[in-house]
This record gives sequence, structure tokens and C-alpha cells, in this order.
Amino acid sequence: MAPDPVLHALVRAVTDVTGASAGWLLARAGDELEVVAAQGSEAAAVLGARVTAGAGTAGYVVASGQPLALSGAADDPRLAEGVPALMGRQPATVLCVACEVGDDVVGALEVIDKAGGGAFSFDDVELATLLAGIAGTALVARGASVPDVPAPAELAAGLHRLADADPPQYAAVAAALDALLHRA
Amino acid sequence: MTEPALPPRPAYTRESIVLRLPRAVSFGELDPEWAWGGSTGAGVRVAVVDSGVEADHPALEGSVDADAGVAITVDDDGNPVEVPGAHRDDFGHGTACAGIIHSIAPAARITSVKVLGSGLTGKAAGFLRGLGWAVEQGFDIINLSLGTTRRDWALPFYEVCDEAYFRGSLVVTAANNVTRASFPSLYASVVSVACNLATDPMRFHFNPEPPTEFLARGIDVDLAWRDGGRMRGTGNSYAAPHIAGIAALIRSKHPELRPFQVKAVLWATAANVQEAPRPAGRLTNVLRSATTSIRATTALRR
Repeated sequence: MAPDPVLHALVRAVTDVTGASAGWLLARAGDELEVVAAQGSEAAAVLGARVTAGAGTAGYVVASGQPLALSGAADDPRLAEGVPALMGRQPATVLCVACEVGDDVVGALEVIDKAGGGAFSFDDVELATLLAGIAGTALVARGASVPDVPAPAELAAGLHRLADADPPQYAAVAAALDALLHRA
Repeated sequence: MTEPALPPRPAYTRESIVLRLPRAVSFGELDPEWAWGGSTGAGVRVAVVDSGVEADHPALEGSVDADAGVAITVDDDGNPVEVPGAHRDDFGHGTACAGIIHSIAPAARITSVKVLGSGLTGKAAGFLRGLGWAVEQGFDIINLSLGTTRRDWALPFYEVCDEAYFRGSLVVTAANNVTRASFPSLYASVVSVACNLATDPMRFHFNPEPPTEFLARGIDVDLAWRDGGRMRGTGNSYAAPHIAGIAALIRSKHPELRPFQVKAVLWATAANVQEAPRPAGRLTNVLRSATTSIRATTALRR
């Protein structure tokens, strides 16, 4: 898989500004997360690799949309779950933030091992989150990730809620949907 | 629906000077000693709506009612399904929140409401149902270190938070970690919490710039984590359970207090309110005067 220069630049930026030794960008691919860009000495080894979206640091971040900035014992295997394990790395610190587009989480941006051995700070969380928003947009624009498509019943429930909460907006959405459905 | 106003500052207040209030009225004897002195949280039930809680984690010391918990799953049509009983914590985050609450209110009973786990990615329906379940069960405190940015879920969350408020359940939520609308942390019916710079778990602040009304410890916190271990973490997620724990102490000592009264007690006992210069005269005096007047009026009517 050829690295995308924009995604790579974003990963490099977040790795640099947070003082991390390595970082990667994960795109949602069904029930998995795919590494679409990586920075660090072992980056080439993990590009294109997939990890489960249901566990580990990145799994929580993608499920909840909330960032995680964690540090543990030097040999804590829980911090190695996911991509670090594929790299053969045992990080002491991990920062992972969600890549959000609109209301959807389309991926996660993760960095490990802050220089100097300290923990990632709240400033790091904010900087990474800022760049993760751009990364999310880039992921969707490049077709590397697509937001969740709701099931028909879920979509119908959403329309019901919109009709209750905001009738004018519902009317606009319903008209557009109706036109698209009939065109289809 | 119009877009909710965003907080004027990031949820995390960097400059401690912002927290120094120019002055604050006093509720007289309403200080931390009155509010929670001697309290252990006994008799208080706390729900942790999160990724599950590892009930046998040593840091929780048997404080979790594992069998009373519920895991919410979401079926293929997007409908939430309740699975009662014990469950595991897939990630560790819920265990971390429960551990903080237990460390502050050791006698409070904790129940896990699992809304995050494998296959639950982005399912606001499950999150909402979990919160609704906790409200129906009448928990004294509900900790939500989660939120959704999906605006189409804003109204349902608003309704369930109002329901909690009127039923007497205090909902404590984590503010978003970045300046972005997150529900239900924007609502007046909940207690919204972000990080302060404190290292003392009992030192919290009143934030005069709502919707985030309180700031508590959330930076580099020692956390219980899954698999019986520990971890250090940073985020508003860990600030909310500090306030939930303190609220549990308050409700244990003063079970008659309604959610709005607990919020007022939190305000009065916040470090920056306690430490602020007092204006001439005290609200207590005004209240006493009013009380005397009411008693006099009542006496005249009899």
C-alpha cells in the first residue's frame, strides 16, 4: 500500500508536536481498524495492517469518541495491544484520539512514548485532537474510511427524532430523501 | 433545533487565576465539614454508565453490586437490548471511574451500566438506554464520563436528564475534552465537570463559565484499570467521578437533598468559593432574616 502524503504529513505533525517516538493513523474498516499512515522506525512494517476495533486503547477511543492519555508500568502488556504489538513495541505511554467527521468517528490517531519518558499532557490531547479532526476529513476525502451507514430502522428512528425536535429541518431532509429515493 | 452555545473557554482551565473569584457570598456554616464531614457514602447507590466495571478488581474492595448491573447491546435495527447481570469491562475505563468513586466514597454501592464494548461503536441508542435504565432504577448518583456529539440525540438526552433531575438522581457528566458540543454535558439538569490542576482528589472548583460548572482532578490520575491492574490517565473522564464521589458523600450525610440542592452544596464547598473574599453581610444573615419573617407571618396567621 502506497503511503498517502497528506495522511503521512498529519501523522508526522502529531508525532512531532506531542514529542512522541512513533505514531499512526487508523481508519475504520468495518469491525477493524486499518493503519493507513505511520511515523517511526517500524512504520513500514505496520502500514496496511489491521487490528480489531473492539478492544484496546484505540478500540475504546473509536467506540466512545473520547481521548485516552495513559501511562503505565514499562512492561504493561495492556499498552501494547493493537498496533504496538504488531511493531514489537512495548510503549510506556500512549495517547489516542478520535478522528471525527461531523458526528461520526472514522478513525483514530495514536502516538506512543513521549520523549523524556513523561506522560502525555492535556495540551498534547488538545493538539492531537485538533489534528485528528483534519485527519478524519482527509480519511473520508481519500475514501480510506467511510462513516457508519445506519440500518434502515435506525435511519427511520433518526427521522422520527428529527421530526419531533426540528420540524422545518425534518421537512428539508425528508424532501431531499424522498427525491433521492424516487430517483433511485 | 438551534446550535447550543459553546463554552467560551476550553473545558480545561489552564490558568488557575481564572478560578480565583473576586468575591463570593457565603452560606454561613455550609462548608466541607458540614457537607460531608464523617461521611463514607453509606446508603448511597451510584451507577457508572461506561464500558463495564471489573467487579472483582482489588481496588474496588467488593463495592460493586455485579449481579445488579446491566449491559446494553444494540440489535441490527439499532434498538437497544438490556442484558441484566454481571459483565466484564472490555476496556478499563469504567473500572477507572468506579475506582475513583470508591476511593472517595468507600461505603457507596456501585452498579455498572455497560454501554460501551465490542460492537457498540457509536451507538448513541445504547448509551441513552443505559442512562434511562439508571434513572428508572432510582440511583442516587449516575456517573457519565461519556457523551455523544450527535445532535439528533440531543433532545432524547435532554428528556432523560430532566427525568433524572425530577426523580432525584444526580447525573454527573464529563465535559468534552475539546471545545465541542457534547450531550448531555451541556444541560443545566446535570453536573458537568472538567479538569483542574489539583492533585488533591477533594479539591474542586466552581467554574463561573458554564455549561461546565465544576472542575476537579483529572490530570495524571492513578487509576484502577482492567485485569486487576492500574494505569495513569489524563482527561475530563476522570474529573467527573471525583465529583460523583463527593456528591455521594454529601447525599449519604444529607439524603434529603434534591439534585439542585446538591449542586448548590457543591458550589458552596468548592475551593475557590470557600477561599474567595466575602462581601459585607452574608447570605446567611439574609436567609435568617427571611426565615424569622416567615415564622412571624406564620405565627400571625395561626
